Amino acid sequence: MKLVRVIDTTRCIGCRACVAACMNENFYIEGNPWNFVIEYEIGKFPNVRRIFVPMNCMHCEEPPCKKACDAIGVHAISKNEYGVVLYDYEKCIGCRYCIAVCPYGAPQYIEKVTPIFPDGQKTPYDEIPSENRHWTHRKKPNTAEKCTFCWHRIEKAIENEETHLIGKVQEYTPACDAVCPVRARHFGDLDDPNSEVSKLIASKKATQLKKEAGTRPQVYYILEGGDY
Amino acid sequence: MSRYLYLAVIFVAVILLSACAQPQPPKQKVSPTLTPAHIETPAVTSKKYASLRDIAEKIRNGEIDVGNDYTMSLNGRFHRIHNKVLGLDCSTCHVGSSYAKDFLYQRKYKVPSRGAPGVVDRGVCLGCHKKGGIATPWYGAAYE
Repeated sequence: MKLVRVIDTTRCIGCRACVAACMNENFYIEGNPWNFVIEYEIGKFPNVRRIFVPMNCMHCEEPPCKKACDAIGVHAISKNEYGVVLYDYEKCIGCRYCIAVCPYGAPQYIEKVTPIFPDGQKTPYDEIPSENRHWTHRKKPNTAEKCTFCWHRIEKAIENEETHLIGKVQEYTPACDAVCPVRARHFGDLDDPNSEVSKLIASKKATQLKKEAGTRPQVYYILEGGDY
Repeated sequence: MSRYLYLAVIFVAVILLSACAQPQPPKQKVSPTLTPAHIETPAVTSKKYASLRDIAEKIRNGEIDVGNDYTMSLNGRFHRIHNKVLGLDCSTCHVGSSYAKDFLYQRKYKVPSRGAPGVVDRGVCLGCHKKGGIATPWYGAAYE
């Protein structure tokens, strides 16, 4: 099973619901978004359009962050059989090499874990003790963090032996993909030729960003004008 | 009398100069396919001076000590390798404080770290760190 995400930039309206959902779901630390929307304009006045490109970890098939981490013997980054790249906060030494090598700027460095409210008050989420959270949410200072494809949800599907429902049922779908109001985000198994993502990639010529880096990302984008 | 002395001095000087002059080597015929022997080819110069590939290999072998400080600080291993050992100037990687308009990069909207000279376009890294490059290959080959 190879889990991939397809983002349709021709449908995205830049509402940032995916950003908010990710923040809620994954214990957001100020300044370290796992999901972010970049926007830019195309065309010439008066024929202009704004393009929104949601960005997150690309869960590359050949992740440079993992290669760099392994090269220095830390081995804090793993890529599992579902194609998800995960960081282990317990092993991470905070060297930031993963941040230096990622062509997509996905990994974020945690300087300190602070509450979101400016007056230091804790949200109900902040009050959940670290040991009661999923291991991908036990964030520590001086470590790196990034999108996990909501691994805690995928893990549930695996435990319940319902992997065929990943990307179809809300509780087994990453939070950002589940909330998209214009269905610009899709998630599923690329190895299944009948899955929605497989069909979209084939029919809409979805492509990956920065292919010159040779990292083979598992996040595909449907761009204006098709592949580049 | 002085005119004869003057001419004699010039005569002696000409003889001395011609004696000191080195005989010119015979001109080599330049072949369009072969490099003349007296011109140093890159293969010859690379034996004199260590190439980046050699230095990179020595760093990996541990022959060149770059320390064990795995941080991004200026004295850390990362900057020591690139700046001190390989001699890359700061501006080689730090392209400045602004990005190209179409630069799809998440940290574009994040203020660069305090004291950092500027952001880094990962395209710079590709030159050496792609598959088949001289450095440890973080990046694969470009593909369609």
